[in-house]
Amino acid sequence: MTAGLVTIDGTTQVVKRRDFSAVWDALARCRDRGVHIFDDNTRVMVYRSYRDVLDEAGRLAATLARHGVSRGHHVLLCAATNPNFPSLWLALVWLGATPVPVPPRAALVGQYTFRERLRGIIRFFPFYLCEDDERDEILEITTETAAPTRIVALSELYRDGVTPLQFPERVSPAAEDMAFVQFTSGSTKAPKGILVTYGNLFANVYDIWSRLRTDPDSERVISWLPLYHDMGLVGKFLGCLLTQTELVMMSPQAFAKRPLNFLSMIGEYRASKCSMPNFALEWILRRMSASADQDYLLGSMKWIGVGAEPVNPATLERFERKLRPHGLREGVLSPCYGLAEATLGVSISPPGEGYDLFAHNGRRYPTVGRLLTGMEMRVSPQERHTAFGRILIRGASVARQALVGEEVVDLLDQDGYYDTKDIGGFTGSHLVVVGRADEMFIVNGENYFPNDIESVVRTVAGVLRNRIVCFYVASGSRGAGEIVILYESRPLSLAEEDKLNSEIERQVRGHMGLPAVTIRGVPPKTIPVTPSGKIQRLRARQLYLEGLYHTSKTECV
Amino acid sequence: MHELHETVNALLKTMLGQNKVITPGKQLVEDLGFDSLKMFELTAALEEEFGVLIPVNRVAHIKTVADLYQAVVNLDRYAMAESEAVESRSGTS
Repeated sequence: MTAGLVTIDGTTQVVKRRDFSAVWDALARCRDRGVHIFDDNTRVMVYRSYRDVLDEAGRLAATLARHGVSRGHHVLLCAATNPNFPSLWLALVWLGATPVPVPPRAALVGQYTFRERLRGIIRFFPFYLCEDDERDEILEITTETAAPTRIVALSELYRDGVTPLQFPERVSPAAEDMAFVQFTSGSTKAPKGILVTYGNLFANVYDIWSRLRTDPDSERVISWLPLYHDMGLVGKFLGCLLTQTELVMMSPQAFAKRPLNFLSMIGEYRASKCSMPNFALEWILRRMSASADQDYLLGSMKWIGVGAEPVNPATLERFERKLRPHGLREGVLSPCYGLAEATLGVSISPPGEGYDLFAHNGRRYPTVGRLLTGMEMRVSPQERHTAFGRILIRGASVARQALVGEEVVDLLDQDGYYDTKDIGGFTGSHLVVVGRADEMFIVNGENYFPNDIESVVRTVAGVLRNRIVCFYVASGSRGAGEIVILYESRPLSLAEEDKLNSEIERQVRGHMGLPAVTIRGVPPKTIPVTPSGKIQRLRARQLYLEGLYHTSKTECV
Repeated sequence: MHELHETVNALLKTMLGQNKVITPGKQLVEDLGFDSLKMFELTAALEEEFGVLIPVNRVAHIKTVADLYQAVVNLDRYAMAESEAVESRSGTS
C-alpha cells in the first residue's frame, strides 16, 4: 500500500506540493494508521486512527463554530498531551483558524510562571481553549490585562460532542496561510511569536521526512516532547499528521515522572524515530543508575535526534555506553540543529550516520548533521584563521515574520536570510555550532562562550546543574568588563556559599584560564529560562544590571 | 509527628540530602529548590510509596511541604473511595 504522502525515494507528493486538500483526502482514507497517546488521567493508552481523528475533528469544528471560532481567528490552545489534542488541532484547521499552542499550567512550576508567560500575549487573541483547572487563573489574567479573550474550557467542547446535522465548511489552507504561531520565549517584555505558514511547514516536514527516510507505511515515531515546542509540535505531531506516520506519545510530565517507561515503550511499539534535548538523556541516565536493572529493547530505533539545546559529547558517550547493552545501535544517536524560525529543522544527519567530534578552541563539539535539502546557509566569518562565524539561513521553511508585542516584524534581511545569531561552521558537509554571537565575549584576545563556562560550573558539586548562567558586562564593576556567573543552589549557609564560590572560581580558572570572575549564588527559580528550559542569558544580564541579584540570598527567599 | 508526615519527610531528605531542614511551611520550588523535573520525580516517588495516583494537573497546585502531606491524605481517600465504588459495582453485577 502506498498511501504515505512522502516516500523514501522522494517521488510524489502532497507534502511537497503543499496541498492541504490532499491531506484531508489522505486522512479520510487512513484507517490503518493513527496516534497512540498515553492518557495521564486514566493511565490508559488511547489509539485513534487518522480517520477517527478526522471524524472527531469535524464534530469539534461544529462545536467550535457555535462558540464563534471562524476563519482567520488565532486561537490560544492549551497544548497538553492528551488523546483529544490531535482532533482539536485539526478542528481549528478545519475552520481556517490558526492554533497558537501554549504550555499547560501543569507543565510549569513556580507560582507566577504561567501568569508571566501569558500576560504579554493574551490580549491579542480572541479565544483561549483551556483545561478546566486553568480557567480561573486565565480569567484573572484577562481581567488584569483587560484582554477581550473568550475563555472556553475544553470539557465544554467535548460535552457538546454530538454528531452535528451539518458540518461547517472545511477549509483547505493555502501555502501562504498561517499554520500556527510558535512562541519561542517566556520573556514577558517582548515575547516573540513566530508566524509559521503552511508553506513553511510543508517544506520543513518534507525535508525532515526525506532526510530521515521515514516511511509512513512501516515506521512508528515516538515522542514525549511538549506540543508547545517546535521539536514536539512540528518534528513529531504535525510531521506525522501530514504524512500519516504512526505516532506514539506520552506527556512531558509522564516522561519526567518515569523516564524509563519511555524506553519500555520504544520496545513495546517497536518505534524507530524519536528525539530529545541533552538534559533528557541525562535524566534517563540518572534514573537508570538509581533503579534496579531492567532490560529494554532499543533495537528498533534508527534515529534519536538530540537537539534544542547545546549537546554535550560526554552525555552522548555515557548514553551510548549505558544503552548499548539494551540494543542501541551505533550511529543512532544523532545531534541535530534547528530553531523555531526555521519551522524546526536546519541540519540533520540520516539514520546510522551518527556524529563526529570536532575540536575548537580546546573544546569538543559534536557535529549536528548535514544541511537539509531545502536550506541554504551562509556563514559570515568572525574569527581569524577559521571559517566559523554567524550562521544565516534561507529556505522555504524559514518564517518571514514574527509577532513581537503588537507588531508583526520582518525576520529576513534583504537577501532573504535569517540571522540565527548562532556561531558555527562546517567541517566537511557537517555543521558544528559552538555558541551564540550575541553572548560570546572576548577577553585578552580570546573568544569565550558562556555555554563553555556554564558547563564547567555544572561539574561543581552543590550547584543546580540546569540553572547556571554566565554573561559578560562590557563595563562592569571591575572596570574593564565583568564576567558574571550566577548559579542556583539549594539554600546554603554563608560559609557553605563562600566555599562553593571558591570551588567554582577554582574550576573556571583551571578550565578556562579566566582571571577575574564575579560569582554569585542566587535563589532557586530566579535565573530566567524559556518554555523549553533554555537559559535566557540576555534577560539574566538585564536583571543583573537592574540589581535583582544584588539583594542577599536570604532577603530574596 | 504523623506517620505519613515522617514518611514524606524521609522521602524529601533522600532527594535533597539528609541534613536538609524540612518544615510544613517550606515552598518546594522556591525554598527547597525543586524544578519541574524534580517535582515529577517526587510525585512518582510518592505514588510508589503510598500506592496512590497523583494526577498531573494536581502537581501544579502542590506548593508547600504541607500541600504535599495534604495531597497524599486526600488521594488516599480518593483511592479508597474509588476502590469501594469498583467493589460495589462489581457486587451488583
